[in-house]
Amino acid sequence: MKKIVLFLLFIIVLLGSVLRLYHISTNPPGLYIDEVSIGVNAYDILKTGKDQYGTSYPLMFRAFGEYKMPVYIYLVTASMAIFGKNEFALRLPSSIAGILTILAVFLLCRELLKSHPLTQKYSDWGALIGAFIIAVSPWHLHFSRAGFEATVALFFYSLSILVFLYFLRTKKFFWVFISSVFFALTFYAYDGYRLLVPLTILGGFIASFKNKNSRKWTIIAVILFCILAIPLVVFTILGGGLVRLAQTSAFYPPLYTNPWQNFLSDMVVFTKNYLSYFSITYLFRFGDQINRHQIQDFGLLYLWQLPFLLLGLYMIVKTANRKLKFLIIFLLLSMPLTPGLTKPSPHTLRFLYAVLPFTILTTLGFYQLFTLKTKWTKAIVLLTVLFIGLEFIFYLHYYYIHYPKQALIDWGASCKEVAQKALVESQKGENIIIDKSVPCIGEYFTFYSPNLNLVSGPNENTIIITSPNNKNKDKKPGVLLYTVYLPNLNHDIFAQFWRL
Amino acid sequence: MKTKISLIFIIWVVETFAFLQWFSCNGFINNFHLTSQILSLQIADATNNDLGTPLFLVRAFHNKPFTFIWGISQTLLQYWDVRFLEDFIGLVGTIGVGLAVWYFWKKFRSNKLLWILFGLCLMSQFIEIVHPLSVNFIFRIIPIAITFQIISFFGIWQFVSTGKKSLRLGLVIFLIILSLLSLWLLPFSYHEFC
Repeated sequence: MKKIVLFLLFIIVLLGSVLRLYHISTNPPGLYIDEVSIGVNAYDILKTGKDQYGTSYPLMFRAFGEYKMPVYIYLVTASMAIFGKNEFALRLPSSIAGILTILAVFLLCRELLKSHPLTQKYSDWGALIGAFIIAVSPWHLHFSRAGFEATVALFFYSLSILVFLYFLRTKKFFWVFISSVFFALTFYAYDGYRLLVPLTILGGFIASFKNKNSRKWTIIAVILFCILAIPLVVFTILGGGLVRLAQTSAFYPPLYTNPWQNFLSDMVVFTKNYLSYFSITYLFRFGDQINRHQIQDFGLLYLWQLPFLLLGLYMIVKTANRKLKFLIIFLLLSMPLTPGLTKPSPHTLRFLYAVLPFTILTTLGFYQLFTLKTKWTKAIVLLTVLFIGLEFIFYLHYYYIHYPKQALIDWGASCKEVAQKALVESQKGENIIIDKSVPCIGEYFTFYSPNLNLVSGPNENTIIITSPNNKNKDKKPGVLLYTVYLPNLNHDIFAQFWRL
Repeated sequence: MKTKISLIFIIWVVETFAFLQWFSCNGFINNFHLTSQILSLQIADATNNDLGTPLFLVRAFHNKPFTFIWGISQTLLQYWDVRFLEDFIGLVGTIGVGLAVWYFWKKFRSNKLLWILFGLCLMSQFIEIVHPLSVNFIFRIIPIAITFQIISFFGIWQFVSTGKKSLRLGLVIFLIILSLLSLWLLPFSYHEFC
């Protein structure tokens, strides 16, 4: 690889690192409930080796009536051992996985472009473009900055595919063995891969079928993966692992009482859900409109990516590079299958792995443009670079200035202050009652203020925490001690501490 | 030839059924418009979040020219959204439009009639976006519907005229059935855009 390519890769990774690490403790503004639950479990594992429910080093972590996958929680445990129990340690594994994904995508794009004479010539430059696209991708950036298991899972998934491509080229068992280990890690990292990983392995098997040697090693690697996956499969079937699917199923409650009508309507619902993941407004305008998943007024992809995506798609259909064609078409068609079964659809987090084929397609579109020899090429390239720069600056403005104010409630902002204030009062000997109207679930208090003197009814030295949503808000419970405000423009009251 | 014409006729009936639902609608939701009032509101809303930011920066990021260009490109996307088109011209029409874009780019880039057709489609959307005419909503969206329908007919026609014709014909018939099922079993999904 040329030195200039390595240097530019270093710059891109540096840019990606800064974007993923700068102020991760404070933007997003607060921890959302899943992050807090991960933090509580990780800290418990660090201190006692047991989860909240007393199970030693569990494979699955019980939370909010369903189960969380273990990989991210154990990574946070390691992070907390170094950095302590705080937001930075909680989010760091996701950020690091996001940064490493930039490298994985570079190598993946390079491997795909090098695999055919038509795209070999500028493969390094094409790979640099792919690395840059994912480094600044709003979709990937957003989830890399918070404690989302899906980011770590995406990293392992990218590595699995990359290493499998190495196997297809070299036919060495070592690579397919490593690939099966990475696939297993992906499987244990996030719920949403439970269908995608087996499908991808099946796709890999089909790709290696023609060559006798490849086929033999692939079968052994598949067996290895199955052995590694047995505990999770058993848990899914027997241990309540399907709880999450039941909670989020797109087919429940049934729309009709007649079973045939129901079956047909489920088919239609699934088709609509599946197609919704290719919706232009979903990808480029609103996302899934869950405030935690993207910033308002921005989609998951930049607007400038649209023509390159279409160009890349055109190139995929026309290309003679069968490896590239098979991989992209397979990924694009199989990725909406799992999230299409759930509601709401489309869903940005559950579809995060699609950032991979969209990045590769945009890269191919760029590649197509840069290798065109017309008198307009330079002008188009300059205009494109200008649009990229402008939209990126706008994104940064919206992300750092607007988003922290718009998404306060979604990220549990002010829950930290409430929990810490409750701890201070508790340490003075006060008993604490948390009214149900306070929008901070118990895990916030467990994370920020463990060992609170919580009581259910009033007695001596009792402080009750209420919110303006309290049903009896016109009736003052006692003497107002302290008010917690939201850090928004109106300084709205978030919670109040009353001495009874 | 007769089969293709019959197929197009059936698709026209299905798409018209899908379009007829919109007769009970008074107008599109705000996502489909970018009038001067909406533009001003968007800028005001955006500048509200910039409290404490230097004024020149606020104006650099939130001004009418940028917001209009940004807004118009995003609003135009709404009319080409898969979820909207499914309820506007049915599932088969949506796939037809996608196929039409593909074949247009692949083989018919020099065809002036197609350029005019796509141009008319975009123009009718543009008018509805920036300055909805003072006529009944249905009359405003008829030009959009008709242009989309013709585009989808072109796409489907090209699709069944190339490749393995029997397989492609089967696929289109499956899409027609799925479209009819969607209209029958999920008749109110267009409310999302109404």
